[in-house]
Amino acid sequence: MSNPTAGEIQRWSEELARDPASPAFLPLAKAYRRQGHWEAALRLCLRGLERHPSNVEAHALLARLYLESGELEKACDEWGIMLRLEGDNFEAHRGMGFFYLEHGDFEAARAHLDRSAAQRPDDPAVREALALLRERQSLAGGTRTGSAAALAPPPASGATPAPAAPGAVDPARVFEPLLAEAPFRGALIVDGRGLVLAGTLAVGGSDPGAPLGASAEAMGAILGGAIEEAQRTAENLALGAWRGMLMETQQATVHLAPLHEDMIVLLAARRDTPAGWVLRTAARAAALADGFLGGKT
Amino acid sequence: MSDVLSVALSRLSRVDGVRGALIVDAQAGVPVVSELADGVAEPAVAALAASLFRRTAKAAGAAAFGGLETLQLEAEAGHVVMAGAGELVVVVVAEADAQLGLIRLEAQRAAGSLA
Amino acid sequence: MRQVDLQPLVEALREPMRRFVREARVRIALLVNGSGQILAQHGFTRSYEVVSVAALAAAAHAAARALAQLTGQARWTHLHHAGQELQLVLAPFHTPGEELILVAIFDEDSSLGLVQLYLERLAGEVGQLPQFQRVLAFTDAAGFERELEAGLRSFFASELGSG
Repeated sequence: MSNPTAGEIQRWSEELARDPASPAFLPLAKAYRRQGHWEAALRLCLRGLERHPSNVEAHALLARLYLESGELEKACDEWGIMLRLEGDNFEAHRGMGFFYLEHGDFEAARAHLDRSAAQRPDDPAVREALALLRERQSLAGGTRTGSAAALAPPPASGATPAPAAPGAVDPARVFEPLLAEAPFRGALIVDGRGLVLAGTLAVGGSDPGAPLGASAEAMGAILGGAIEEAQRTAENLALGAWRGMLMETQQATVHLAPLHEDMIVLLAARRDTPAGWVLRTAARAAALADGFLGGKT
Repeated sequence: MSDVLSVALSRLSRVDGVRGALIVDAQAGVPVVSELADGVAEPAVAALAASLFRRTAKAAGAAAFGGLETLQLEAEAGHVVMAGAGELVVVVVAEADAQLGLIRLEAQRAAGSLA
Repeated sequence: MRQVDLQPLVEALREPMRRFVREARVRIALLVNGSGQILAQHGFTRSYEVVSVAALAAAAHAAARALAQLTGQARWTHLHHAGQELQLVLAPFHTPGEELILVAIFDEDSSLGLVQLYLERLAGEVGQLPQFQRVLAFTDAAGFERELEAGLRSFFASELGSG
């Protein structure tokens, strides 16, 4: 789908202003999501569903919005509604398959993924999920292991990619080689608009899987101002281009570094991590990010 | 207090690769006391470093990282190391090949003595 | 008072003022001459009465200059008032043609240091403009009022146009 024009967005907004029951809420909410206005997209979608409760596409969009913010349970509710409305909905089966896979209910996961695969056998996300399912089922007792957990970042990371995300490289797994490093708490690739492209993050508290105060999606937007300030400071003090910024806070040690095309890579580590380790690992994270971005382009 | 500031600055200024050190009012972005090499623009360093520290601290808070304690800006031709000390910020401008470990240590020590 | 067509001046000052507001991150900046005439403004919000702000800035400038002379100071550099949420800086600077006063209102996004830093650049750019290369003529109070009105209409029109 091509990006909607400003004229289209204005037309949909006007339609909704004239008639709050207009189905224009759906393309408008989709446009907001594409532009990174997650909150606005969510509000529109919820409001629209009050008047169009059986709109399957709107439930699918809502599920996707919840998924992108790490609210997997809520996303699952929406997929459930979709299946009640449309028993064979591909996206709902695929989403439910992922949900059950994450929760270790392999039988239910298999049932949903098989139904999705029957409809679209070449869907890369379904194929990957089935491969993951086989891998996990082959592990003793079917319990979640360290590697399985690593493959599936916690929902609270907020950067969990949508199951529909195509491509050979899973954005959530870009920084997987760094997971073995004890102080590592996550890394993200953020684009110039503050949107997260890849990675996961879990900084809050001492538990690596603990939820973060701000979602990973919000992180890019929040740090945008600091990055802009870093660039300005380096340029104005005749220090040349900025190469990175190391922040030591009460909760974490965070490193930001520029990639190409206005993108940055963020690395988070435990608060007590030596600066030298952070700088070295940040360089590794940048290389992994470059590899991911290079592979995608 | 001014003795404390001066001592903190002179220790920092003696570290290899340091081009200058300042203690800056974080809110106003103006220098309180400084020891800078020729060619280092004191008002610009104070204003920009304080602004960077403030803005990053705000972002760190919003991102639930907690309070910002130290900040290090790495650039092609040098570094700026900052350490928060309440309403003041210790700012060090250093060469690209400076002894960053020692500078960070001294900046943190200076901030500790001011807080 | 200025007895020149304000439109070219408004045009010439627009970009330097826009840049100053963006770089220094102030909420509003006015450029006022010694008579309180607004030569440029950027970041206008309807919550400020710019005409009153300009007139008071000119008065404050005159008072500060008189105080500086009385105390043996050649000139004053700036007046800074820090309120609970907003801060105000009045800062005079010279061009070959006349002395101007920058009025900047800002919140926690900016600081006195940033305003001073970017004021230096603004003063340099404005001082280079051909319109400020000569001592300017004066006119009567009625003419000033007319020019002020005309100037404000241009500013508001340009603001609305850019919004």
